[in-house]
Amino acid sequence: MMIRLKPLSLTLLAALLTAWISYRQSYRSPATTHVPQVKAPSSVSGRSSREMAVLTDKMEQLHVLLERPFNSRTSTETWDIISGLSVAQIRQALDLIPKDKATDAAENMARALYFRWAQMDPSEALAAAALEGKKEGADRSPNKKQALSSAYAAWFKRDPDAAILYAQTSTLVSRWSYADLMGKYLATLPPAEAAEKMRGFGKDEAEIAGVASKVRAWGMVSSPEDRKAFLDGIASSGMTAADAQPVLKSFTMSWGLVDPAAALVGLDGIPLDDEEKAQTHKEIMLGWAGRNPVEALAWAAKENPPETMANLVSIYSNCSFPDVDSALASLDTLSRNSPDFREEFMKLQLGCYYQDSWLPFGRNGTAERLFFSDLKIHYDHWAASAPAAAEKWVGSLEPALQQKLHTSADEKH
Amino acid sequence: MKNTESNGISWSTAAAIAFILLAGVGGHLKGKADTIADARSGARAVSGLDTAGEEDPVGRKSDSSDALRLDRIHKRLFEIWKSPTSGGYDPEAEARTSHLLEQMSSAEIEGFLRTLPPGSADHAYEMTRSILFAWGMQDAPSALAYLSTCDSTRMTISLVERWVLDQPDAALAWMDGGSLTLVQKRQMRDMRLQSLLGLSNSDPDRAFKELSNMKHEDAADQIWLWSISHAQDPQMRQRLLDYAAASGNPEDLASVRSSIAGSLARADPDAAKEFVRNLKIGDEDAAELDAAVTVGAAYDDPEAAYSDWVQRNPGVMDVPATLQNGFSEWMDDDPDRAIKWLKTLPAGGLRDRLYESSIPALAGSEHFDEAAGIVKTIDSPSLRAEALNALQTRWLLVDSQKAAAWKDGLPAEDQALLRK
Repeated sequence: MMIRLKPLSLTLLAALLTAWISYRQSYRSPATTHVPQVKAPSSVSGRSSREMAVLTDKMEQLHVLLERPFNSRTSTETWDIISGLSVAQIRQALDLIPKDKATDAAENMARALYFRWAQMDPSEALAAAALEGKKEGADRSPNKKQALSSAYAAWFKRDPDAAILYAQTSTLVSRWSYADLMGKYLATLPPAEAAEKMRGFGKDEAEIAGVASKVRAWGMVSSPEDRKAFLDGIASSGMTAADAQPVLKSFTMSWGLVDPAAALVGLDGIPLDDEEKAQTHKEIMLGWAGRNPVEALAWAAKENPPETMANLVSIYSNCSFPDVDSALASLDTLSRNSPDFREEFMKLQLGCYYQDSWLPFGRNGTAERLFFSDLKIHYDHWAASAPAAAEKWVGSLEPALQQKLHTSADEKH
Repeated sequence: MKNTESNGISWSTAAAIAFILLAGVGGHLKGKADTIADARSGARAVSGLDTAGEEDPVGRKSDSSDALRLDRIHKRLFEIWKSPTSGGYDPEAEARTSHLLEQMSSAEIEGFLRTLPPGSADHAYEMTRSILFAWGMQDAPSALAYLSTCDSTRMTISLVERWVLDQPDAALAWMDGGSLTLVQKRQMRDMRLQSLLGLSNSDPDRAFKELSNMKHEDAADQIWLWSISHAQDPQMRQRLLDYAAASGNPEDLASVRSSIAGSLARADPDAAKEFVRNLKIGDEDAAELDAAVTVGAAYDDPEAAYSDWVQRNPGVMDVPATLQNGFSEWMDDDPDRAIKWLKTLPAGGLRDRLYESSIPALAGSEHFDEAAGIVKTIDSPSLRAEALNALQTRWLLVDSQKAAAWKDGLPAEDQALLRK
């Protein structure tokens, strides 16, 4: 009996073992499942396709990702790997990044590594980031700035209060890194609490308050009550007139995105200085023209006070027309309403055409052809509808350009 | 008996082997099934400390209605982006956004973006940006069609550049017939140049292949651009020289040689001179390349580079165009310093030529008074006429009143040189 049981139990044992091994080989745990199957790019040579098809080693996967173009997919794959690394592995991964070859993929990976490191140990990550570039003798390297900023951003995201305290005493974190983050964070808090957290930043308080006010402005433009409350708040905040200008501009620009016509009218009541007010007016109009050219041009044509000719030309030039014919139709309408409009617009076209020779460093044949083509389209259209005026204009140009406009074939694009 | 015994052993051995194999297959199938079940349940690997990052399953099939599923995804997206970011940088939020978008169709992504109010706060802007980049990798034509209805040319260019690197065939074909606004169409040629510059880094073979689909003048601009950016790479350098030599247009080869020499000289003038020495060229080409090396070396020390060129070319009036352009660039960048150096040259001759060639740059950057001062000192009537007309063209466009006043104040001899 014992003799018969022995082979049976051995068989059972072998079967169990085989089943377990097969199970382990075919089952991939959630962790393994989530790690992306990094495929090598076609240009990476020297490896067989089978070898490259599935790389299980994280460092090797990161190495391959360094060779691939940077985009949302590869940066997601990169983060999926990095989010599972230990501090020791992060150190190892940082060594993979070539110091002499700055690519988007390399920069993104370095930043993600410091971000991840700071999620686990912010002080250690910031100390390591501060050493970036030191080995290469580049103490002020952009890599160091990026590394510090990434590490600090991760810490701020996880524990803003601790990060704020750290920034008050540390020389590692630059104002560049924290002012923006802090302003955005403080905008989410009640004003009294925000003011309390801001103390201790000395001269940077104004900048942080400015960012916070700008962020608050975004949520305060939809109703007259909100707008009044926001403007009253700025007036009583103790902010200097100079510090208030960018905040008020940001507020008005946000309003212009929600309701450009109302914002353009309401701009008069915003305590911006005259120059800033004119610039804000123009930017709101240009943005509107980009989003909805028909509405923007209709408003610009009939509202009082009328747009300056220069503004009107800029607005028209910024319109997002679907095709050349609708652009030319709008040009005709504007020219009928404002007799000087076409000549002013042609002046701008001429300026663009000549720009190529005025700015020698920007000279290239493609731009020259493009600008000439624009000039030609508008000239031909003008010549078809008002030949005498068009010929008078073309007669004022240099002879070589006159000839070119008369002889080149039309090239609509 | 022996046979029977032998058959018996074989039978039991075969049964045991079959049993073991069956167990193996069973284990394999169970492993597969568990893997799929885990994936469906949304089990995710997150680091121990990253508890805030755990995603609940938002799988399409587990929700009873699409509206509910989408509502959960939308809430999750806002939750992901509620924390302030440093200039929009948050790789964790971007990766989560990307994974959530994998569960949405293009129509659903577009629908969500259209629900966002204009003038959204900073974090909503960053969320939108992240969604657009992820959508662009998922379904670039749909993302770009959506962008064509917004005023977002910069985003369109960024997305196309990334798409070209990821799927060059599809992206380049789209660039020829995509649904773009007129403004975007106008930028298409520059978009192609920039995109192919990126592709030449990651996949030079594919980038070179595209040249055959381009008009000759566009291809010439492209290799000119590549020559500047790849000058340090000997292999690419040779490839560009070979391509330009085979194009059949001698200007292509001259342009590539000049760009490489100038670009090399910016970093290492000696390496640039060595490159030029190794080319088999005639005197005229040598003069042009010498000018390119001079302009490259002038990037760090313009006075030394241009003085050296003047000493080596005494009495030369026919200044190569490359040198004139380089000098104009200096004039545009730092007119006071460039004018101070020009005044060290003897009057007339070469100085006249450099004065004349610098007027478009000065006028282009609206240094009208400096330009007017220089024009007066040009001895040669023909060069002065060129300079006067270049200045008048630009000045009239920018400020016709001041231009007219300047014209009225000119001596009769100079007024006669101006075109009517």
